[in-house]
Order: sequence, then structure tokens, then C-alpha cells
Amino acid sequence: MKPPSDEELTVRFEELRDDDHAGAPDFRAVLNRAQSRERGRLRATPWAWAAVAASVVFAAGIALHQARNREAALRASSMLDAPGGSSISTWRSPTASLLRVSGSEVLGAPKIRSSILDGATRGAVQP
Amino acid sequence: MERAELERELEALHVESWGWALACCARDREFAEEALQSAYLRMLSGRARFDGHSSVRTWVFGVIRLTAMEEARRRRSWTARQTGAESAIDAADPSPGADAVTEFSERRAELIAALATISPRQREVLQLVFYHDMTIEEAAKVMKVSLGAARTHYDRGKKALAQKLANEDAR
Repeated sequence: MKPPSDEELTVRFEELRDDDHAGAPDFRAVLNRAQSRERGRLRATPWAWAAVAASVVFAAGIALHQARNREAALRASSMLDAPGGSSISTWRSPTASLLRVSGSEVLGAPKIRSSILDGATRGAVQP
Repeated sequence: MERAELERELEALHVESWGWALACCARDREFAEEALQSAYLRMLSGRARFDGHSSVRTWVFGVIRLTAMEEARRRRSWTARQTGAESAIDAADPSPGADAVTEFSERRAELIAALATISPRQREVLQLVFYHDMTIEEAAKVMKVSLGAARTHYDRGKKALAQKLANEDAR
């Protein structure tokens, strides 16, 4: 079969074109639909921004709340360390005194830069 | 160009623009109207500006082509997100759907089917030359390719299309 010439191709495209043009939507209708679509998009935009702003405010609120909680916890722990409270390093068991026996001072390691006469001297000076 | 003047130009070109939008949107009427709406908005809002370097028709066709390509890309990525990559490949296929083919007479259906077998660039240049009576130079401007490239697409596309139609007729 011989391939169609340029003229035959033109005729075929013209047939297609006539058919397409007959079914073309009205210009004004297309334009109106486009404009209402754009209006809808613009109307939706402020809501989208409001949603984003609300999310940011909510996230900031949560962050602030957590920071305050952390600060309160720190303050509470520092109050325990303060005079009147007791920290873990200075805490003594209520029964610690029971562990002390007579002569434990002699058995214990002498204090650095101290003398065994310290106690005797102090006792002699005291009225 | 003033908005009112541009609107008049678009109205005068509307039927032709519709045919071009159909060609750019794999002959899907719904998709073609959506692309045409977006292209009109783009031109009327000033997001696409006429610089006077070509005819208004060439510029309008160029904007429609670009808008249709963007819409197609958006549709493909949306389809891919919805149903996976397999559907995206289906959506990219420019061959007309069964419904589109049944709407036309056998000869027109044959032409549409034959056009779907050639490359998009070849299809575009043939559509612009044979359907819209443009010169190859004007078609090159619409397609944003060099004149030489447009000529090559035209020659190869015409040969491939004619051969395809001859094969169809021989059946």
C-alpha cells in the first residue's frame, strides 16, 4: 500500500480538526470555570496560612510548657541541696551513731597536720 | 497588552487553542480543559507575558503546551503517590483511551492511533503544521526548539506517520 501524500495527510488532519472544533467548549464557560477555580484556591489560601500559624503557636506553647517543667524540676533539686535540706553527699543514716564505739578515734587514721596532743591541750586550756 | 485586548485575542483563538490543548493532553477532554483553564489564567494574570518576539498565536500555543506539560507532570506524580509507579507509567502513555477512539470515525481513529505511535516531538510538529497550518519555523517557536531540529522531527514524523497509516489501510 502506498503511503499517503502530504495532501492526503492534510485532509485527514482537517477531518480531525473539524470534529474537535465542533466539540470545543464555550470560551466564556472555560474562562468562568478557570476564574472560579482560582477564587476557590485563593479562598483556601488564608485558611491554610491560619492552620500553619496555629500549628506554630501550638508547638511554641508545648516547648514553653516543657521548658517551664524542666526549670521547676531544677529548682526543686537545688532546694534539696540548700541549707535546711539534705543532699545525697551529706546525708547520714539516723542509726549512724550506733556504729561509733569507744576508742574508734584512736583506731581511726590521724588527721593530716594534727597532733595527738591537740585534744589534751584543748582540755587543759578549757576552764 | 491590556487584559481586555488579550481576552479578545484568546477568544478569537479559543477553538484552535482547544484543538492544540487536546493534542497536548493525549486527547483527554477533561485534562485538556483543565490545562486550557490554567493557561488562560496564567496569561490573563500576567504570569505569562507576551514579549512581542512572535505572533500572539505562537505565544498562546507555547503557553498552552508548557501548562499541559506541567499539569501532566503533576498528574503523573499524584497518580504515582496514589497507586505506585506502575500507574504513573500508564498515565504517561499518550495513546488515546478506548472511549476517545470510539467517538471518532474509523479514519480519525486510525490517525489518532498512528499519531500515538510516533515520538511526542514528531507528533507536535505534525499537529502544528497539518492541523494548525503553521510553518515549520512557527512550530519550532511553539516547541522551543531550533528550526533544524523541528525540520528533522517533521521529516521523520511524517515518514513514520505515513507508513503507519499505509499499514493500517493495508489491513
